[in-house]
Amino acid sequence: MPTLDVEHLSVTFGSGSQAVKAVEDVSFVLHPGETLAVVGESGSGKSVTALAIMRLLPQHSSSVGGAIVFDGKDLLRMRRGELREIRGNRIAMVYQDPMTALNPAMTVGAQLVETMRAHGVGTARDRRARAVELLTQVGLPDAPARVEAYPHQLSGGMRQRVMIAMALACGPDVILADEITTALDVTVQAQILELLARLSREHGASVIFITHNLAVVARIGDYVQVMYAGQIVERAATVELLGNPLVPYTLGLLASTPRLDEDRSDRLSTIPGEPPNPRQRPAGCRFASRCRSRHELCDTELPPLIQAPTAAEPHEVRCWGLMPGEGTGWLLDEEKEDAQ
Amino acid sequence: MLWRQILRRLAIGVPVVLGATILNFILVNAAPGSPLNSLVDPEAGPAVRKQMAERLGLDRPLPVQYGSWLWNALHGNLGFSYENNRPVLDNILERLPATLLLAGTAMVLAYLVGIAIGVVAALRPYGRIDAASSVVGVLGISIPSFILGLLLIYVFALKLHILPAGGMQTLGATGNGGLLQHLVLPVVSLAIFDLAIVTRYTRASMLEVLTEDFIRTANGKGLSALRVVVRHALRNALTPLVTLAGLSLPSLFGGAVVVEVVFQWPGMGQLAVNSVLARDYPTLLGLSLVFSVLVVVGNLIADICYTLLNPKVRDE
Amino acid sequence: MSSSTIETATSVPSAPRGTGSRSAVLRSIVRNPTAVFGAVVVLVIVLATVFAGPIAPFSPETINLNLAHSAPGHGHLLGTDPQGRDVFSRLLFAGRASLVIGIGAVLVSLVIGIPLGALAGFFGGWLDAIISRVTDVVLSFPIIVLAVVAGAVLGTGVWSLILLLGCILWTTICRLVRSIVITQREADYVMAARSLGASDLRIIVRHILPSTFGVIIVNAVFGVANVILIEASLSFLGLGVRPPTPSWGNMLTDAQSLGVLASQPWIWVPPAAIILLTIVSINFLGDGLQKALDPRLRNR
Repeated sequence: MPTLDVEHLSVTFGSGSQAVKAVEDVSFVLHPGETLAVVGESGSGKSVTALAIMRLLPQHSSSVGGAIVFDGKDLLRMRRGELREIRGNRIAMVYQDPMTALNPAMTVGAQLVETMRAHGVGTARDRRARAVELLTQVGLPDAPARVEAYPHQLSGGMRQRVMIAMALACGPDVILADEITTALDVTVQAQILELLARLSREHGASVIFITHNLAVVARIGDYVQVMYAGQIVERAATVELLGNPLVPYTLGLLASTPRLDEDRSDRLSTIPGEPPNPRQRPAGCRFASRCRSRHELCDTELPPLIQAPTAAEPHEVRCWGLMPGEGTGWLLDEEKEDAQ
Repeated sequence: MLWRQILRRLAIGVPVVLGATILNFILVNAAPGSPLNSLVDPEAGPAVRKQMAERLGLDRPLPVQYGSWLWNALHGNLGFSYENNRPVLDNILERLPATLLLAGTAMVLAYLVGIAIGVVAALRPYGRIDAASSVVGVLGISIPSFILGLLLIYVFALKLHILPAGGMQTLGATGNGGLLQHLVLPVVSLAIFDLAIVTRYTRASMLEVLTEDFIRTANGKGLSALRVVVRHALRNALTPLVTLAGLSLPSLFGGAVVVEVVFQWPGMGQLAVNSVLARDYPTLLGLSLVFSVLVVVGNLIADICYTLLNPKVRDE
Repeated sequence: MSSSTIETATSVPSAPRGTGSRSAVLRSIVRNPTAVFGAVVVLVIVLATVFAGPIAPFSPETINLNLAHSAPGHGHLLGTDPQGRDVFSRLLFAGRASLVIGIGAVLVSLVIGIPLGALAGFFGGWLDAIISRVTDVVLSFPIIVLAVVAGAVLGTGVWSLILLLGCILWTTICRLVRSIVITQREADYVMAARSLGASDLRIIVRHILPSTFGVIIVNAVFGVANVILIEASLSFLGLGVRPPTPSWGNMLTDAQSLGVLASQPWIWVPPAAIILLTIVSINFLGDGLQKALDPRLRNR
């Protein structure tokens, strides 16, 4: 029984000629205790997907289609009252920029307690104690004193920990982590990742971890889904995807990730070109203009998401070159060659 | 750290008050026509004038006159009124409560109502309340308080007979003499201008705060809309308003002067206008001192409130 | 990364940057109904006062006690005041005093405020400190009280009022210019100009000040409205323009008598209405200009 079932989610900003489809026909499933990493560059729609789940997108300028089923109910059709009970309580989100995501005029402890009070967790005295406990759990030194601190008195890393504590406060089933390490420096990043992985295990929560950094995925995800220009282009278990990447975009991403064991004198490889203008997406495969293996078909028709024929494990791909059939599948031969 | 801020503000305030009194002293003494003309019988000979001048100290050089006035002022002696020969300080203190009541009530009204409307307008921008309040807003800053006062008197006192046309109390009435009724029209006349400005500023400030990330965080935590608007949005939107309040004090007192005249309200403003017409310079100087002090104190209070509201400032 | 844009109408009024082309500004104003209303009304009022001579049926100062307090009729479009003077004529001529004082005072405040603000902002240090302290002193003073005292002193001619009000109002413009200059003085183009050997004066006048023009214009327009308001209040109190010279404000002094207020509306309603109309129109115009000159607001 999946915790979260996203069905054909699409998000459009603006209207008429100005309409931008940030997310197009995205479907995925999240099971209890699972961590799903969503990877993609800026504009891929990954953050918008998370905001859509929480229904935090601006009402007047966005329209959302599809269904998001949680605990038997469609989040997108829920009334405000029910939604409020779920937000922060059963589904919680941690945001990208810790510097601006906290109310500067409230102490950190008050912001923690506020969440608990809104969802009826414990009594007043319990809540205060629990706030201290949460801060300790997230690794904030000297938690009893920190509870009285204001956000501006804490560093970025500490604030991010506070945000994680806030997300955990009511014991949610799902945690959405939107690029939570992007604004932090590398040493802190590793600590936060480990923290999240451990806590989600301990609390039994599922996590959707959004990032643009493929290197991070290995540390935290059970499953990975790669998004490009609003669509899912590849999805598999982390081990499978990193060990057997198939779609050209994913290959490009992996190749451009710097590795410590590489010869430094080699130039860093990049994917040439840029993602398509969201207002004018091509009719065919969105990645076509940047793809080494592009064929004519790619420009005119959008490939569907299918199970990759060469993969032994569940592994979905969206690429004509990987699809068996007449006029397609040109990459499959290469695969067979690689395998030999 | 709070004490340091208070001291700093006071330190800046002192030269401001002094500067204001010097300015007024110069102006008062540049006036054509000496006060002696109204104090001494024009028929009297020059000897009498000289005697009077000596007695009042008007024959000494200006800086000395100012110095002695200042010295006396610091000891609580603001001289004697040319009008009724009573100590200036007494005259002023007698009228101070009336002006504070008028200005204070007007300010409270302007801010409470202005903030409320501004918040509603920000929550539904370009909606009906917003559009209405913006039109009313322009009217509010465009209508001189004395015209509004005259209009209100015309409508409510002369035509509808439900409110008094002036004064602070009804003669012979019990209790506080119908103070509340007498307070309504003057307060409204005085408050409208600031109300319009506060509404506009609150709306703008709220709109800005509502786009901040922490509002999204608050919504994401499943907090009630009321709590998000008040404890998160408004709470942060209020800080520039506090500064605004301090800066609006001079115009508030200025407006009070006019309103007091229109409504015959027995406050310092009315005293000021009467003193000008009567060339009662000691009273004028005393009043200018008191007004400056009030403004400085008001700004000090605003500063303290700002520090209380804005935690970031406390650690500097 | 997500392209959500929550349009903000405005932040707390800030300095408009880069005015854009003149036609864009004009277009924005023309599209704005209240601004157009304001502009038209102001124009009509200005023309009426300028041509008061030919238009007015009577001289504003002719006293005719036989006809004192009479209601509209008998050739007096708006009746007569307690001195028997024609209200309509006085209304037209009074506009001259108010408008001249309004514009004059604002010009004076610009002449004082712009240089002081530019100097304070550009050079900082003790010059800034002195100018700012002086600004504080003047600003902390209730305008009316200062004007009341000074009015008693400087006499009551139109010119002294212009000077007086200008000397009180330069502070706002000074502060505005100062804050813009402060933000601009570290800008790249300033450093570039300096490296090419431009003198400080040249930098200030030719490079930095032009970016203040939008703010200054808007502020000047609102300033005129403000001065007219203050002048009306002062004249009403008897401390501004003194009779027999008509001013909309002093035409209202008679209304202090409850008798006049209650039963002779033709004496006070016209000047009150005109004052209100003039100030509202100027404010609408100023609002329109502000929106037109601030690129962020223009698209709304």
